[in-house]
Amino acid sequence: MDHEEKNDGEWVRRVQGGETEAFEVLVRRHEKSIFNLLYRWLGDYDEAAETAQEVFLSAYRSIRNFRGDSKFSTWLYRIAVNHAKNRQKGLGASRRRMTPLESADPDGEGGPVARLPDPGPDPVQEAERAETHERVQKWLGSLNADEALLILLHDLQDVGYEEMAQILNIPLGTVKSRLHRARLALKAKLAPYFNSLRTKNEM
Amino acid sequence: MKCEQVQEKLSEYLDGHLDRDASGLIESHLASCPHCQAEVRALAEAKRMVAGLPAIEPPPGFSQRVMSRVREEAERPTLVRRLFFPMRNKIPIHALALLLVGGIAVYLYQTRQPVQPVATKSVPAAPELMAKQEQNAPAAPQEKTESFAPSPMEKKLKENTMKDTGRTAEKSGKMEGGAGGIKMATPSPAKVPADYKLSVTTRGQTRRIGQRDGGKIYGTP
Repeated sequence: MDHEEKNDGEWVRRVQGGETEAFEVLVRRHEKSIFNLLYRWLGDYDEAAETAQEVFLSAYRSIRNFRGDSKFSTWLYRIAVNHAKNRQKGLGASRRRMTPLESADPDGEGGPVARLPDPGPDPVQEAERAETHERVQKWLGSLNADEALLILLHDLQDVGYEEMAQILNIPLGTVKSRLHRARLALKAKLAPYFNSLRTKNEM
Repeated sequence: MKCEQVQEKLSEYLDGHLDRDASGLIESHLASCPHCQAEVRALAEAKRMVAGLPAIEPPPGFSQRVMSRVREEAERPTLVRRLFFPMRNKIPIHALALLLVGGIAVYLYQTRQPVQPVATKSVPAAPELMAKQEQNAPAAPQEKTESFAPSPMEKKLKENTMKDTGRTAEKSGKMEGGAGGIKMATPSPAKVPADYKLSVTTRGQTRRIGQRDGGKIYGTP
């Protein structure tokens, strides 16, 4: 990770020096994490793809402003968060974030599940797993957007507390308390599901 | 340690952000508190479920699409810059604009110039001349009589003046012939000397010219 960060700096400097093509290395390195964060946060595949494209374009435009005070990924996450927030505002997103997977039945076409690689050898188990993922996505969408973001950054993207504080420009203490509050909220959504699973298993 | 205090710290505990002492306190509480055990298990489950979300691939060709837009972006500034950006290119545009405006201004000034000086001079001069005319009025009939014999010198002067007057009249006639009211503006030079009343009966600058000449040449000192 450290090595890659050093490497990022190298490619950033090249782009800053006018080497446009060097930017592709940065895109390829970070497209997956940025796209996945946006996809999980916005809850819509196409929306995420479009936003991710805007994020990289915006990063390219302002790459001269990147001074290397933080990691490139931190800087990129910050751009992504800002773009996603604008998009949420523009689309009345609290509703949008909740809906996309609501209607999707586990084996429906076109949902994100359809874009996953082929299920493993046990289709039943895979289907169950996919259903669980959908539920998690739905619960995340029903959380407060800021709380969902902290959960996604930390638990899905492995972003540390300090880096989250930098990305969101909030104090470390706020990161801690907000993340905990977010987990409690998510836990409350999970509880009925697990209780039903437990009773199902016991039967 | 109370359950409440423990539960507040459970996320940090799960994420490994507590030091050894704090972790130890939590663990010893958990060992004896089934309620908090259930709580930490549920939180860990929530964390695990999010972490277990599969990574989704971006749409195929994503980076190529980004790069094609980035390349567009990289080209665009040079076009914009060519027109507005560096000073060395901006100055000619400004200079050209300045020249254009200046040129138009000079052109407009020149086309109006012949009209303007006459008009502007005649207006302030008029009252003064009117006064002169009144002053000279009583003397005028005597002056105008042919019995008054001008000296050869005066005669020559008169002739010259008449020519001048004629020319001026002709000129102003050309200019103002179109404007109503100045009917006399086209007399021939030959006619002018015969009719001195011209200086009195005409209006505007023509009267002024005649008056001045009359005042100078024929007026009593």
